[in-house]
Amino acid sequence: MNCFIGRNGQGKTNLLEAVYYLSLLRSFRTSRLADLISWKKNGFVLSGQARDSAGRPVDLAVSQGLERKLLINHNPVYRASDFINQFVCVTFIPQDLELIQGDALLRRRFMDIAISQSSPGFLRHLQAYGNALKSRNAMLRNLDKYPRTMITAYDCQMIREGIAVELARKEFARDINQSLEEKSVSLLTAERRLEVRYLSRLSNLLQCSDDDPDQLEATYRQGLEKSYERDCRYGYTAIGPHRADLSCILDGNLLNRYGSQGECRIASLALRFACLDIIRRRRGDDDVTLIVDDVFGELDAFHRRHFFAELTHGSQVLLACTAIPPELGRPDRLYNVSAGTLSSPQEKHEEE
Amino acid sequence: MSKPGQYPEALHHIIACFSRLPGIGRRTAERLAIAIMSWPEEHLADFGTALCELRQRVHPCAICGNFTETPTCAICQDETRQRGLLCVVEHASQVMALENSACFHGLYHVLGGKLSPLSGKGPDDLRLAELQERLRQQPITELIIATSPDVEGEATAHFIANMLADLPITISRIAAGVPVGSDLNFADAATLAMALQGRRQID
Ligand SMILES: [Zn+2]
Repeated sequence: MNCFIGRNGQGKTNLLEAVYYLSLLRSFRTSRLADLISWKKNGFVLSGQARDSAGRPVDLAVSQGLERKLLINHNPVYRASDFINQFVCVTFIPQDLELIQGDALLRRRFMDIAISQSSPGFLRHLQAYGNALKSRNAMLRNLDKYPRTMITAYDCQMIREGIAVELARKEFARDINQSLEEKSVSLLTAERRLEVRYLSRLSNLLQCSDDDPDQLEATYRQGLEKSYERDCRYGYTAIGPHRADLSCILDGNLLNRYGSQGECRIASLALRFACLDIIRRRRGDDDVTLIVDDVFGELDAFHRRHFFAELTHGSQVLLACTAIPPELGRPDRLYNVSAGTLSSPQEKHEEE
Repeated sequence: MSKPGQYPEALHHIIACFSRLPGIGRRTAERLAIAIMSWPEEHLADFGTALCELRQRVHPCAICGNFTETPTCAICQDETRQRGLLCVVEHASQVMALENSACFHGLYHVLGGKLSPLSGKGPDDLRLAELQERLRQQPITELIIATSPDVEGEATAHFIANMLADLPITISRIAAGVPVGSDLNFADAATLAMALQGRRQID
């Protein structure tokens, strides 16, 4: 447990963001590259050392100028997919509230990041699907140039990758529910029941195909066939995992509609813990870095105690806050963050 | 006249030319241009002439699209090749890769790219009509489609297979021996041989 203490605006979040960036090559705060670069600068350089599952050190470096360069142990790496997830991060950040209350896009991203952290092949399917979808939409908008036969040829790729993405997400939703139930994450008091439901027109279509791959493909193809004219009119593909959502339900009620702010906050934290559980189980490795950015401020003492109890279950924790909450106890290392610089750590002294 | 802190115009021009090459950044372009500055005169002249003549001398083979300096390429003229077997590739450079692996003895057809709506490439932008024409005129019985193993390459393979579905030829796809995301240009000979042997029929 590493604790970073400092007033707001001193650089605590930037520090956590940098760690996250080394893990996933993206920020949890923004998707705009320009937001990550200091004012009037042309880029940034980021480096750090992680440990792989065998405990060996791995040096990671990113330099972002006009182009991005990636280094693992000082050797260049050309594909982002080969760089990311050298160590795995799970975040608990203020923006997590948006997971419940925000746009479906954020929940799809939540699923996709978590699945790619726990299932190595997933990212390739996701990227291929995105490519096939973009290609298909581009053809739908220029039917004079692209014949139907070419769209059909792309449909084959889109169907194959789309099924892979869809099944992986459904399995993830199942695992989330199992995790929420089994571990009955102590954040939620025993009588409350949180569950998620994967919502997608495609899944509804595919449901009747009882997981026979040929049948799934045929049903998907029929679905595309049916909406083809509509798709042509709108220049947009109506069916597929890109339209899915993950709804969160507390005691039978849709959280984004009926949940209080507090319930949504707790549910978002519970989702993150379930996610952490899935990542650990699938990777067969408990070593996950937890990034915590002042999410416990609005929790009451009861939930805060349970939150910290869950956190300290065997992971490296990087926690930023303005003051150490009493429920946390004494962290192993304490750093003061002030004006973008870090004090030397104060180690915890063994008292017993 | 060049301003202080800038290369003279002619040198700047050469740097800009090198920068257009794939994989060459500004810094590398500068290094290459400055290296060329110290070449002996006859090497420079030789380089210049070679560049000027390149497109006059080398052109696509009238039959298969491979690079050649004669109307048709050496492979198309070679009577010992298996004339019933045709391998479809995206680029002429991939013909070289397959030839160097020495595991394929049929003929080639170069498409000049792959179907890619995101780069504006449709069926009319590839040498597909030429392919159909060849299949009508030549005694070809088997087609191996060796487009890249990504979404565009797979879609192109599907498109070709559907386009030729009525013809009495066997159509197969190069096997997954080629690592995903890589392309034929960079695969080694052993991998290529495996990929060719393990080809699968397209349904
Ligand atoms: Zn030829």
